[in-house]
Amino acid sequence: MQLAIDTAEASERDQDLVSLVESVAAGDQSALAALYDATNRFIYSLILRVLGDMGSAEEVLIDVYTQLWRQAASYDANRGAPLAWMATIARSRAIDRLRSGWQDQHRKESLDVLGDAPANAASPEESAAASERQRFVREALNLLTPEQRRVIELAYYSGLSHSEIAEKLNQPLGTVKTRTRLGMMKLREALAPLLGEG
Amino acid sequence: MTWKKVKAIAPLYVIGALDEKTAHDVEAALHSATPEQQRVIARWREVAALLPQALPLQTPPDYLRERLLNRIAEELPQTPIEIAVEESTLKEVAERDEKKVLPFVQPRRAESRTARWLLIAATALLAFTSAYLFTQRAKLARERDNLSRERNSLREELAERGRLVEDIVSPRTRVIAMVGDEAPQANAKVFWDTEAQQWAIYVFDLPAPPSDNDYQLWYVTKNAKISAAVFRTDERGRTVLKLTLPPDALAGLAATAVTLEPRGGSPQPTGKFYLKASI
Repeated sequence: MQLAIDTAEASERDQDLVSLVESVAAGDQSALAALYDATNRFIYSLILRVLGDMGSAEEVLIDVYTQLWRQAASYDANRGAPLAWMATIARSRAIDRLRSGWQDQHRKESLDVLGDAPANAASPEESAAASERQRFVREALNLLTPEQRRVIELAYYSGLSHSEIAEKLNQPLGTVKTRTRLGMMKLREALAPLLGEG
Repeated sequence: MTWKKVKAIAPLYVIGALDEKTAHDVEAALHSATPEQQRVIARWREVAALLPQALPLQTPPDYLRERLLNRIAEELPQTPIEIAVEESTLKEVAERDEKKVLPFVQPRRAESRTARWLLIAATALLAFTSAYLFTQRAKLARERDNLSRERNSLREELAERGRLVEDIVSPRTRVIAMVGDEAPQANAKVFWDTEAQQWAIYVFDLPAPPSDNDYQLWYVTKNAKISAAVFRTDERGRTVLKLTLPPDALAGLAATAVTLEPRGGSPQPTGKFYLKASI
């Protein structure tokens, strides 16, 4: 099942971000500032979701953009959208911090929050397009069964492998793998318009 | 690992669900993947990267931007001008040191062998000292630059704090004190910029919530309770929230409150009140 969304704005935004990443790769400090302005809320929200602690999320946020500054030249537009590349780096840094034990006291147990989480107060810079994407992805997540959502979120936000998830949920490993794969395939189908596949 | 296997487990790989060894095998296989195969994985990565798009957007504190740019400035390589300035400084030092060197007069053969060795040793010592001084000079120049950047950063931070104080004492700023209910020691101050309709909320002594809960701030109007933010406090029970009031909250805003909710927040308050204030 596919949901409907206007993807023209998303595509234009991706192009803008590609240009910024290219300028950052060329050592343009103001481009990094612009890239930060355009993406910091998204990246910070992701890191905060993984770590659940503002202090460490702030440190990781700085680390992520410093890494982007150093590694912008390694970005290859043929291998994915810039925001996907940035999200991969941000998640990776946040999960590293989580695994370092720094966040043990804050480690999340319940992760069924994506589909129905309330929106934060809108800031002036939050664009209508961002809200639209947020709504669209939430609707896509709501198409998954609660079990499928749970295994995907445990892997993505808590950094648990499928065997760790199976142990945590007391479910057979095969069941966890199947739920994850089916959930991801359903998500991909629903999110196709955002991926330029619709 | 075969491409067929890689393709089958790609959805698990991109969300980090594979164990370390299998993930490593996938990465090794991707090194020799064709561009088309790379694109297949990239597409799955994009699916995974869309997951956080569903999250409620949180705004990081403003000072992080400054801190980031300062850190980047420290990492910037020297510009050609800086290099030229440093080389010029080193040349000046060399010339100055050269003037301090006594004229070297070729000793007559009649002089003793010991004296000749002493002169060679003195020359070597002089050369070594000069090289050491050059190095020290460059090191000091770098330290001076770092200190200068740090001073600028502190000045900016001070200016930012000055602006904050001005905002607080400004006639357009209204201060609301939130008092603890479930946690009596907890308190918070809301600084309401009534022109920009923005809130800066400083929370104190509100214990960090259990791992499966979050705090949630609400705008309470005559007709509705509107979610403002989902947040956690640090180990000192503190946090700072910066919010822009939505139009529907401004109409008939009567109170604000903080409740303890299940992780991620609730559409409507379900938990006990931890902080509250009438407006």
